[in-house]
Amino acid sequence: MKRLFLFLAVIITLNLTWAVSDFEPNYVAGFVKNSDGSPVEDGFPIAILVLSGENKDYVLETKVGGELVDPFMKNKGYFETGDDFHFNTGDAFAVIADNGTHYGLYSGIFRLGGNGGFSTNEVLIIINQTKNLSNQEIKSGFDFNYSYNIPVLRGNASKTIFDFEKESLNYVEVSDNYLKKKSEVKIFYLLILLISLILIAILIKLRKSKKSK
Amino acid sequence: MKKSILISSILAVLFIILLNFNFNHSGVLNYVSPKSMYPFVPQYLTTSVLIIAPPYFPNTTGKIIDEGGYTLGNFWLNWSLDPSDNITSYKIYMTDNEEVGFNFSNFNVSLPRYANNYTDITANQTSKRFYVVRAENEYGSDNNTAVWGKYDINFINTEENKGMNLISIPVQPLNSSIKEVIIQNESNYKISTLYRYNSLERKYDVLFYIPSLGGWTTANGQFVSFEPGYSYWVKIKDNITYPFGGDFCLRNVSIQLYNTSDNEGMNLVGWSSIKRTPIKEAIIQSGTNYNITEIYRYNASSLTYDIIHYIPEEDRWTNASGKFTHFEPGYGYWMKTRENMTWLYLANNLTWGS
Repeated sequence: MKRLFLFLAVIITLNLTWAVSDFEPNYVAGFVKNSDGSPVEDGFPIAILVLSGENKDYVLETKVGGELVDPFMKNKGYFETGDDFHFNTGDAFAVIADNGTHYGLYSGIFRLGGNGGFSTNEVLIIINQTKNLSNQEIKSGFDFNYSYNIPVLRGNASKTIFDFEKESLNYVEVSDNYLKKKSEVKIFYLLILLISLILIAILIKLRKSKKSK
Repeated sequence: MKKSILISSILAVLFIILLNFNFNHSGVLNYVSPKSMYPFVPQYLTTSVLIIAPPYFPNTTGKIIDEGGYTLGNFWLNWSLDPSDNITSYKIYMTDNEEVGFNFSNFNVSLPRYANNYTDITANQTSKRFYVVRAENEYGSDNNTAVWGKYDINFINTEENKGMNLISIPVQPLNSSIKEVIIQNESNYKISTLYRYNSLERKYDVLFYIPSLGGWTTANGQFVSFEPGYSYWVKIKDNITYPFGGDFCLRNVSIQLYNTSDNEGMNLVGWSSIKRTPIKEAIIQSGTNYNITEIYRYNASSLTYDIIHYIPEEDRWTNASGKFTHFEPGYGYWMKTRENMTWLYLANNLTWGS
């Protein structure tokens, strides 16, 4: 029984960590400010959520003034994610800056080369929303149980990388097939999960019937 | 008396001038610093050395040997023979470290005057090796500085990266056509696809290897050779180390960078040099006059880019955790520019020893 659970855990983990990269550089960088315009303190928690595409629901956590921020930009409310292979050009994302009681949001579409930076105010988050925490436990940072109202952009940043592979199906293994394979594998895992659950249910039933006998 | 003093003075001056000039093998008069003359030649013989022993520069070339499949890495050197009888032997100098360079007081291989090629069968045991061939006569050797050799690039294939590696080739191959540089055949091929980015059109030119034909597709009329200044995405089937052979001579590399509404200033560029060079040395710009704002270096293991930003206020590049500070051979880079521009850099700016 224990082995079965272990097997299931591995399968679920594999299924959850599967990610697809488009090989383009993408990052999100910008400023987080209080409602009075002053920069938030370094260490202010940030989460970047991927809202569409292959890596939908992926979350990257970082901090204002984090380790990727140059000393020059410390204590200015600046954050920088660096590149992450889950960030794909054309996919929608949101940034949540949340100190547990107040938060601010930003949403956008990943662009080739990155969104924002220290020489632009393109990504500017104002902490101007108060969390309704009557029934929620207050956490030190953002809280995924909390229902943020994030506007999801549906724009379409032009995507180039390896799209051409679709035109070349006759030659070699292509990303299209890879994606298909990936979804097939996902279905395969789900099927195994389902079958395993049924088996567990049968085992439990058998045990119960043995006991009652 | 005065006349004879004047004439002898003029003659003396002429003699001194003659001492400081030398004729090379093609008959062109070259200035030779007395300090660079062969140290083991007694000074009183200098005049005769300069006249009767003009150094011969063997015109060297070299390439990786096609030994079939992937037992690659050995290097073949070839040079032109001196048509005169002045040369006594050819000396080959080797080094595996471009920073240390060659020790020209100790040759590695000596070959007779009629030999015009050499195969290094131990080259595949090292990730990089460089060679200089010098002609020698009874008075010493020439000062040929044409460096040839090989440089290995490691390609990583994982389930996540799908075998995709971003590289630039730090050598200038003797023949830079794809078929000559990527040596593989139907029964043993590891590199399946090559991609070269077209910044202006924001698309990739693609070449696929067709095993049955033993060659690369040319259907789209796309690129047929490796060129300096470009990066290439290379798709591989297995983890491999691939040797690239060619020359490592000092040269200027010129790359056109574009900023259009479509490409957002992003250009894929190559570091076509063996020398690891500080970013600030390779990109000449200032806080009041700059175009390049970001550089991205791909890491095939982590599937992410290391990114550095230019800080005009401080005329420097960001230097935080995980940042890089140098252009390094073998890597491909994205570069973001604010305007169309030409980026010019000096490749292989190395001393190579003395």
